Amino acid sequence: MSRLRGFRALCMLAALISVVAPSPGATQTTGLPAVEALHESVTPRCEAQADEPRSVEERVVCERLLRVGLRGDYPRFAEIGPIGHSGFEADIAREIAARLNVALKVVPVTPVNRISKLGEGEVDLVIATMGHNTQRDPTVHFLRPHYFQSETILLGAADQNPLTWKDLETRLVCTTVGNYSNVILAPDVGRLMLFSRSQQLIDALLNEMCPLIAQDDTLLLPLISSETEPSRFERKLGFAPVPWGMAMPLGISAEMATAMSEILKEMHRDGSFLRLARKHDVPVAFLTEEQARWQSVECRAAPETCLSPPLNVQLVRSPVAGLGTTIENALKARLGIEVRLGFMESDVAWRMFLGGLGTSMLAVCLALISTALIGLSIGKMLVSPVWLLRVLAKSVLTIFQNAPVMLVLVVMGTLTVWTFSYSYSSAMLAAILAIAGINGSFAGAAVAEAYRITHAHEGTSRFMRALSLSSAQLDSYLINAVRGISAASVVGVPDLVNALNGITAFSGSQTFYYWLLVLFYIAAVLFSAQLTRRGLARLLPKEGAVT
Amino acid sequence: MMLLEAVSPDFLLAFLRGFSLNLGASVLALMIGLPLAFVTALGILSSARTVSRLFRTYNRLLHALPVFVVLFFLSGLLPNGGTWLGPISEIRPLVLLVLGNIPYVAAYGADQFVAMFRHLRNGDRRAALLVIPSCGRALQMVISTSCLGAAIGVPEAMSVVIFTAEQMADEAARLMFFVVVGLLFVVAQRICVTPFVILHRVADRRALSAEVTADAAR
Repeated sequence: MSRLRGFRALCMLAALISVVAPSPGATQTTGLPAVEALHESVTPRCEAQADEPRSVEERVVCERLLRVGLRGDYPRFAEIGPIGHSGFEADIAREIAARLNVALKVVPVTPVNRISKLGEGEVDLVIATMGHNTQRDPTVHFLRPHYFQSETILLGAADQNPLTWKDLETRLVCTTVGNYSNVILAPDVGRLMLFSRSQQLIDALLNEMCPLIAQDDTLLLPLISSETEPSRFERKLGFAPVPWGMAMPLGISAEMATAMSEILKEMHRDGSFLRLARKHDVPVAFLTEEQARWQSVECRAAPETCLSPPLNVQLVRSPVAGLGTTIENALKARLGIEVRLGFMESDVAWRMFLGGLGTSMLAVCLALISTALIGLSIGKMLVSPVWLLRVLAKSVLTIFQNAPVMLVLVVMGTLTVWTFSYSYSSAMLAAILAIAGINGSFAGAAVAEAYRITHAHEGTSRFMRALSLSSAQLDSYLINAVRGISAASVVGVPDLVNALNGITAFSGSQTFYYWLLVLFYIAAVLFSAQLTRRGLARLLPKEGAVT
Repeated sequence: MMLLEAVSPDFLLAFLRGFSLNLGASVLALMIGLPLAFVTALGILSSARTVSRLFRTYNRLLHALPVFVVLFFLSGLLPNGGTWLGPISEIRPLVLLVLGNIPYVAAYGADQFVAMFRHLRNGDRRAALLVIPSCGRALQMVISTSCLGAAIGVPEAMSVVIFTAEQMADEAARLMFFVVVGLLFVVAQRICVTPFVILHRVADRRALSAEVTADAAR
């Protein structure tokens, strides 16, 4: 009990400190005209409206208290420690409260409830790692200028070669589902591996499962900057910058908005943001630029022209977006099935889907033709009277029959890159050679085995009779090649697997896409089975055929 | 990183650790898939035409499922850290490989059991015993396809190989490394298939001597 009482006392003390204590080093008053104007316009109303519901600015000015929503789980930005909140954003909150000449009350928020807490009036200001984008912009009043800018970075082992954006088309990159930056990443990456949470992504990098991970740089800071030892990882590339904005409820007065905006501009100008960023070891590149910008004569003269717009996250609609919505509604109304046809919504997703579908269909056709050709060639070589050809065919057979599919794919990928340099065509060539090589070898062996137990008969050559005898095995290996070509994405072929995986990365609805994939390959296999059976029946002599 | 550095004792240990996952998953897939295959084969050979047709269609669908797509599907359906697997989420990689390979084992096994039953019906016991090496081949095939797990983040043998290869700057050394790894796989797979070969030889010898005895008695 006494321990519990002691803990309660400690909590109360921490709360008291967080409410009343001015932050160390925080400016007490700045005498900004906009802040003074706010106080002057609101103070006369304080007495008169004591019992009535108050607006945000009346609450802040009359109660002399600013309630700020802060996260408590974001290292270096906002963490909860033994003496309350600490971090870059916590110090910014203290600085703003001091400049407004009011006390600060910290209210813990999460990414899920930070906007709703503003709407419900539980907080007056949110400083919670929130990206300012066109989707969020209408829901709250974002204060500008922005106080930070993050970007998505690709993180990899420090001892590896530098990376260019072009190199990504051959690489495996791990990321989390639902990131906006995946729209940029997905079309250009060899293969994406998706994770549901950031921590899993970091674990995958540490466990050497993922050679490269893509995530917000602020989340990966602890991995790349260490004071004690050189880091194992480094930033390889950065893209998709997102400005971070503080937010207040919609409908705040012009005086309040101006006062807050002036405080932020002043904090850029006098280097307060930079000082706090350096104190908490967060990236300063954006803040350095902003300081120069807000100190410039142009921005002092016409500040509105210097404000950055929110990040535009509205994707261009696809030409079939309307049709997609109609299908979604029809499925819901008639069958009660709720699906989201994300691949039909945006232009980028639709183009990826069509590209993937086309590539997969091409891969299926090429796999069928190549398997048949390789099978016939190896079969012919295995029964050849030329010793060298037989040895060569047997060597190929040994390699393809004993090495795992994945290894054959990777080796073929390396060989084609070595020979032609990487392109989607060379990736396709590698996949076809691997899959058709494996299945063609097995088919060739079956033809050779049949050759040994048959003879030429009534105008039909011995080889044709062998083909006829082994037609069932030929059929099954051709089908197997169609099934196997689904693994082409492993070497970076932009097929349907890759396309749907990429679309999932930014539009969600994973399960639906996986069903789509399974159905596509079942249809492809069944169709190919019909095609090969009919083709073999037409091409091969009837007598001796195995059914 | 050079070839000799790559094929270090640490790599071999990691490879073996990874391969134990491939082998464990393959054996489990066979243990679960083969009984399913047996039931499917009985269904296919059923004298009731509807039942037979139903099982045939089911088997055709199983045949049409690509292992890679099934693995991919499962990795999305059972995400890392998800709640679907409950207490067995710790062994998610194993679960993914086992579940991903069961459709293949069930379809391939059903074909082999159908052939076995037909041979038994014809009184050809030795031909029926060919189901034993077929199971060995299935094990070999499942070990091979379980290496596709590397593409969905399963820490099996091939993912160890790919990670090590990515750290080798020299393409020629990387290709040599793949050759060495290929040999490792061949040796490991041959060892795994050996029990089936021995079992088949013993059973075949017994069947042969039984046939000879029966012929002599006739």
